Amino acid sequence: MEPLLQFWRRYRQNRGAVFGLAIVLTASAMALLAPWLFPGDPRRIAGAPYIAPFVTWQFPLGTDQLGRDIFVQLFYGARVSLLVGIAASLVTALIGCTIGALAGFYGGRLGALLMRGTEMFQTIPDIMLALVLVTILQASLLSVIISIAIVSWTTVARVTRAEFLKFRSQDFVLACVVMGMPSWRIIVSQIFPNVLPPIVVMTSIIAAGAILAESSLSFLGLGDPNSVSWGMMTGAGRSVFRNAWYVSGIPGLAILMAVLGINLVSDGLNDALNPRRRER
Amino acid sequence: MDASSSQAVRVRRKTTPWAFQVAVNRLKQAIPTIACVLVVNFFLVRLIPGDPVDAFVAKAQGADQAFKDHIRHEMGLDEPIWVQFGIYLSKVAHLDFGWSFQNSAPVLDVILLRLWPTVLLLVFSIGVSLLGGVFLGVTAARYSQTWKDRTIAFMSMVLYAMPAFWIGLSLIVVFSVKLRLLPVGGFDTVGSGKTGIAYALDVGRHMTLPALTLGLFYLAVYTRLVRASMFELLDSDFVRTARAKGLSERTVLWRHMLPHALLPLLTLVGVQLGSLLSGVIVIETVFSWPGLGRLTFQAALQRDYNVLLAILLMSTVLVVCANLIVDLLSAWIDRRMDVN
Amino acid sequence: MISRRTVLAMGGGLSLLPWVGRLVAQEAKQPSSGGVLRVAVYDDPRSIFSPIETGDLELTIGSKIFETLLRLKADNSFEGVLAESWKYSPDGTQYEFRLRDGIHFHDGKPLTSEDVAFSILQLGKKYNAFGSTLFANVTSADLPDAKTVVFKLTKPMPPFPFLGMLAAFGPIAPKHLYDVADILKNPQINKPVGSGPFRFKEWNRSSSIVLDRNPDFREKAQPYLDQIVFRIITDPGARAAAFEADEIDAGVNSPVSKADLKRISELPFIAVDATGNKATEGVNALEVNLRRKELSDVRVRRAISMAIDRAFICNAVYSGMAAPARGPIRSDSFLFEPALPELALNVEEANKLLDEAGYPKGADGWRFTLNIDPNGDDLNVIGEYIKQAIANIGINGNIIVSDYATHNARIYTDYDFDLSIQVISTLVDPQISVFDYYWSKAISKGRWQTNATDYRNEEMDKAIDVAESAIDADQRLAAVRQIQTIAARDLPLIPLVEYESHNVFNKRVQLGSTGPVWPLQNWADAWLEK
Repeated sequence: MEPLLQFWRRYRQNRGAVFGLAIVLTASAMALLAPWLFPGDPRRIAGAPYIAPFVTWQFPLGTDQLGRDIFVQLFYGARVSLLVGIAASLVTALIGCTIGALAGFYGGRLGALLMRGTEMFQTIPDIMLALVLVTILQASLLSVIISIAIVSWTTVARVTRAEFLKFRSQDFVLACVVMGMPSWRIIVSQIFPNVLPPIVVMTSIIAAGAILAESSLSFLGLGDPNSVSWGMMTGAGRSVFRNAWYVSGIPGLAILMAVLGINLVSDGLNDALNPRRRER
Repeated sequence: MDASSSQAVRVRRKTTPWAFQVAVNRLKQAIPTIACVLVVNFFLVRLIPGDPVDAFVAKAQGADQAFKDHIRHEMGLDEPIWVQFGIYLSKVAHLDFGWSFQNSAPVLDVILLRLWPTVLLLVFSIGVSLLGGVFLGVTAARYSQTWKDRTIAFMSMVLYAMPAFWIGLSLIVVFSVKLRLLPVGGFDTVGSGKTGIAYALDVGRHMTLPALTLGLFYLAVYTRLVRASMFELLDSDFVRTARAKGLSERTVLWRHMLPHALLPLLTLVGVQLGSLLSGVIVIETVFSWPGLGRLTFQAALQRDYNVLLAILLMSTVLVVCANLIVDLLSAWIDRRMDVN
Repeated sequence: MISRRTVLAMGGGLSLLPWVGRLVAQEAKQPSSGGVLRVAVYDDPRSIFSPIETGDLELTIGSKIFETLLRLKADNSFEGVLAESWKYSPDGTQYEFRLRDGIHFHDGKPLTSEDVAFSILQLGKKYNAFGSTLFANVTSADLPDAKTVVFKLTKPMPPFPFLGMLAAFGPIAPKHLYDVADILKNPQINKPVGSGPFRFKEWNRSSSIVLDRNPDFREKAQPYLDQIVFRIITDPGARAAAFEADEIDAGVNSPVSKADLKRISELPFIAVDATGNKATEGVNALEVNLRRKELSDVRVRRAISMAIDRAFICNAVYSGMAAPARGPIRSDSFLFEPALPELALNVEEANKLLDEAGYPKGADGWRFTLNIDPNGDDLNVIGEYIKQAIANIGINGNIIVSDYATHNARIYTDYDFDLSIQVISTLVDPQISVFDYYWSKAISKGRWQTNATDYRNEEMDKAIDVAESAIDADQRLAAVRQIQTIAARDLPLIPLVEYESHNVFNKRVQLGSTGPVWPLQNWADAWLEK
């Protein structure tokens, strides 16, 4: 418990991060409680179309073009959007870190080979991959998550590799090598903690970015039409942006808050995890 | 920058010009990459479900079978796939990218026309946001944990958190519809007959909003990255040494720390250049900017194989060039840091 | 995709909303010359060489350069453009056209009967995507002199669909320039030279297409406009903003969303017209795949039809600019069968029908699951509504969104669908585009917008045969009405709504001669008020 408490003490020094955590927790609570608070299909037509927000208690945030309750959809949207963010960033981090660490630590032929592969992926425009995946798998959450992970991992790989390169020739690593420590232990226990802060920052950027990317995909008509996400709500409401701003504006605000919250949390994590800043 | 190559640079730099060495190394690596990409792209494009002939006749609301057979033959799609692949390779070797049936024009013409609006947009928005990002990032580091730092951090986060089409649409409503200061979209005032500086200004007016939308996003990303990197360095040994030497805070920040912080930034920019095509699609759509992003999306929807393959190849070459430049810059910064 | 529909329909309907203005009643203002007309279009055309195109965009732009023999007027009569007069044989197998005097192409060469025959029999029939079907019966032409062309048909065709077809898909191009090997790949395709009031100047891809005034046009004072600029604006929101910021003078075929239209129409300088476009309008319907066991039962199809609140679609999706449909032919067409019943909402009866048909609700509340394939734009929103509507009768809907090419391959090549949402547009005459959805002989794998439902009914086939060759107008009308009655009984397609399509103008634009296909007119007499 003690280390956790210490961590929390360091974390809470960053007031922004505490605020961010509050946002993320709220969103998570919305996601978890949605089916319990509002049973039934969130997309069902509940009232008249285009009821403005804060007009009636029945629909506190108004209704969209088909008369679906925006408030209820917002809760369900949290489930999908957070899922997309978390799943995409975890897959991304896993692929990116593994490849980046291997390439950075071993270098040489393996490193070169991995980096060539990474480069190849980078040269294929994201939208191509997204379109291929979405059309093969059909527009679904899974294809959206995979598309985002596949276009994002290269960045993580490159950053991880660059960090590993920086540390590989440092004294404490060389000392471990001399002591006969196995490579995987050096990677995991010695170098990795040191490169973690930028990777945490990177991963959180990707989690946040995934939520944004999902909204862009929806904008281009490549989102999943059967599940409610904030991105999908924002994209669908865009055509009435000028007349009923709230249809795309409210889920857009939710995206803004969630992305902001995640980024603030990642900053807090960065502060709390960073061994050098700890001394200050 | 590859480990072996930078090693090589360090060893040989007394005898060979280092820049040349880096370039040769990078190009050596690039050739197999490009070769692989040629193969992968060809088959990737064919993986997209949907028939190019169907997509071609889509604009005509469909067609009868005889016409479709005729088009398939014209497109060379009635050959076995290996024959098609062979034809493709030999054409690429002759720098012949074929004909775009969807655009009724040679592929190269179609692409070149669309290339420069995108390059213009990107150079402007990335350039400005790079400068802004570095400045804001360093300022944040300098005033670490003060209100200035917090404001910069917060603003960059808020900007980063907004969906791009949201920013774009809002800017249009404010600046074009309400204030009537700037055009709603497009590349220039069609039929204005302007030339020279007047024309450049006209394009500039049209570019302001899309560049701003794109730039704000990049600005947020770069500021965050520079700030994070600078914070990493604040307590490192060489910074302490520099401070101990009595150098001013400004010198320490700009001359000693920034070069280190630039490395990850450069890596990121290099990477982004590769995915530039997708990055600008949304913005090009919102602002009717006649660029490559939209062409790529269009070509993918239309299954215009020839255009897609040419764009993919070009994007590869672009990434290789971008990486080369990043390598050169990184090596240069490395050398400077060594000297320091 | 509504905005993509091919052209021409019957004219005459009243606007559904009072605030949609009508531009027809313009007082006789004196036209003034000069000015640039800026027109918003939604995409790059495939080419501007309209003699081989069938898309609305290609034909809209091309029709200023290439003219047709005649044009359709609001009262469903035809007016000569290149043709001075025409007549047809009583058996409907010979159509003779007499050309006007003094018509020249932009390069100064005269337009002759040879060019007309070439454009229809060579270009249209061979390179127009529908050519071999549209002009299937037109096999040869006699050219008694340079001014006369006589088309010979192997099978009789009623005059209205035949003339309408030529008005829409028969632009005339000079033989001496386009009689080349494989026009699709020939650079000549990008140098359009026609006889129209405007000449092609430049095409800045994805940005604009510029047409200049043809100073040698046969009507000396015309065209009034100096230039037409088609600006390519892909985003509908951006098009609306461009109207508001006065960067665009005109847009055709519903250039802005219905929601934006309402706001824009309230601006003092904007006029909205719902008559110049009767052409692009049609009926939205559900194509039902009868290959699927549940859907082959007409009770199930009726139940689905009863679960749909059509008035709701009209209001929510079309902001009131649509009306509930009763059949595949619009109620404002003279071919419409007025005895068709209204398709009313009745969830209770629908549930009863499904129980009767032997599909009780399962433990999870669902009877069975159906895929819903919408085809873009507004239809996607309709798809979401249909999903909710059939949930009320215990059918679980699963929406499948795919891009245009994939969607059509799923429906018309793979037959891999349950319910597909489709626009049935009346091109000139239902003979050209509607009957094929119901005709068993039109079941043809890979051909779009034909019978994908696998509906086969001899009575229907017979009625279609009569409608397609009856020269006598009354006999034909009876057959077309019978088609609608059978269609309403069997419901292989479930009609949804008739939507209204609009053109948007800045009020300085004066249309000149109007018609139900204004976008396809040559705009020689359109002008800008100073």
